[in-house]
Amino acid sequence: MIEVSGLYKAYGLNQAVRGVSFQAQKGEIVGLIGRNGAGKSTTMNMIAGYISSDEGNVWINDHDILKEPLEAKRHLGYMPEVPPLYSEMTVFKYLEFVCKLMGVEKGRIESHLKGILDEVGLEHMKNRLIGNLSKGYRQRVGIAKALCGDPENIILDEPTSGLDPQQIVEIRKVIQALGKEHTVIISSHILKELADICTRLIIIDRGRVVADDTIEHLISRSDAGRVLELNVKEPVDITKVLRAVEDVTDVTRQSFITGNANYRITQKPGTNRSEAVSRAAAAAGATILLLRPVEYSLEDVFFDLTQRTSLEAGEVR
Amino acid sequence: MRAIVQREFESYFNTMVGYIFVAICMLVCGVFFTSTNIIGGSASFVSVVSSVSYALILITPILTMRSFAEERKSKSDQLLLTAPVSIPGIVLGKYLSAMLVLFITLGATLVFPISLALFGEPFWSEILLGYIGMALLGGTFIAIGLFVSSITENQLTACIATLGLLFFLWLSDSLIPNLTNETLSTILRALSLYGQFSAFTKGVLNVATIVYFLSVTFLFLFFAAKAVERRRWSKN
Repeated sequence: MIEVSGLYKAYGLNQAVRGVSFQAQKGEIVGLIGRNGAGKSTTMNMIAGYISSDEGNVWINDHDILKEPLEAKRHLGYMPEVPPLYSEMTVFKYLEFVCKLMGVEKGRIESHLKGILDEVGLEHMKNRLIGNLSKGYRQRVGIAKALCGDPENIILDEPTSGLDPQQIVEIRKVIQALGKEHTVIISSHILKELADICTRLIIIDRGRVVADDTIEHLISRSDAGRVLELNVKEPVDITKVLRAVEDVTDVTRQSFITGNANYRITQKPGTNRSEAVSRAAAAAGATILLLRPVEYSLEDVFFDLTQRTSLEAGEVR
Repeated sequence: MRAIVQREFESYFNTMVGYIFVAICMLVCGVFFTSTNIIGGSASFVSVVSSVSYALILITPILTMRSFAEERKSKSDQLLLTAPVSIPGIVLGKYLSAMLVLFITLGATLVFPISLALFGEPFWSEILLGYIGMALLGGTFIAIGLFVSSITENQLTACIATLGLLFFLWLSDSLIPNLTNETLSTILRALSLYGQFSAFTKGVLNVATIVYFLSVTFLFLFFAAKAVERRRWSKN
């Protein structure tokens, strides 16, 4: 279990993290997402005890990272943004070293590492020098590093950056499997990647948590109304007819071919008037070619939330 | 900590650093051995010991420059600082591994007094004392080098700064006789590593000297640990 409460960190005049608090329980995969420089890596570095917070506390399995650092770190596997590797070591030697640091018994290291190497697909590379590995493989060594010593809590900072699509799918499976028995915190600036594997998302912007919820809730919570897309063959412009439908707040029309038009129909949040819209369009003499709700994507939610904090901060974007 | 000692030690010999250190030390020792003992026909090893001790100023920075500076630059320090190891443990691990390299080097130079023994009768007690002195002096240099490496971001800066500091400690010795200011000369005398070291080449085993070197070593290792710790609280 990882608990973070009221973390603050400033670099000079730049307040990088301002009051970040959250909890992650066993069996959860929590995604930290934010733009570049939002404070994700700083937060993760503070959780892992690499840098100290100006204020606030971090508990790893109820051990305070600053007061009982050794106990706390024993239960934490951390992969920083840039995997901390020694280029002159072989993959196996390096991971063996990490195991020793994590306190794995000598006799168990070999079998323990075999499992990890298989899991992240490094078995055939174990005798290669890290300095000669490609970025994707280095990234895998970094992930393997976080698994050494089988810690209950795992933090991965942008684990899939630099991997090819095939590798991303494989690593995603590894993370999903880990999530069952571990507490996993993973960061990324690619929303889709997190949406697929995380049970919960924490959106960080300007050093603050602006949202902490499940993906479904985040999407439904968004205050932008649902939008319908309508494509019709029409004798005349039917904008007015559509506007008249109950709960419809806005209609925009685009037409590229004469007699054919595309409408975007915005409805009040929590309503779905597609039936009424189709009836109204048909009654106006239009032939409906397509009518579907426009998926409100996580990206929209993200922009919505981060935009709002920018506005609150008095910035014009 | 044992894991760190082992890794660091292997790293010295997985890269060129360890070999360069041993080679230069052997070269210096060999050159002075040839000129004093073989060509000079002397069985005294003391002057070789004192020459090698000066060479240590030049080559110890090679051993210590990477230790913290390079790790910080490549961010591999994140591994050690987020692992369940204490900071004094990390510093001590790095110190002991560099000491191991020093011991191996000093062990290799034993070939010179041994070959002296084949053809003459060297004073073994004097040689032993010389080696104890070199180990203590080298250990102190390593501690100073580690400290400088812990406060710099770049291994080249670490190397040059260590070199400068060790040079200063050496040169300050030659200033002392010309100083009229009593306080200043007392301070410089206290800082003078070579002033203390000369006891060993004179054949004097002094507990105070041993304590001096050990405490300077401890002090700089302590500073290094504090410097690493301080960085975690840094605002930059």
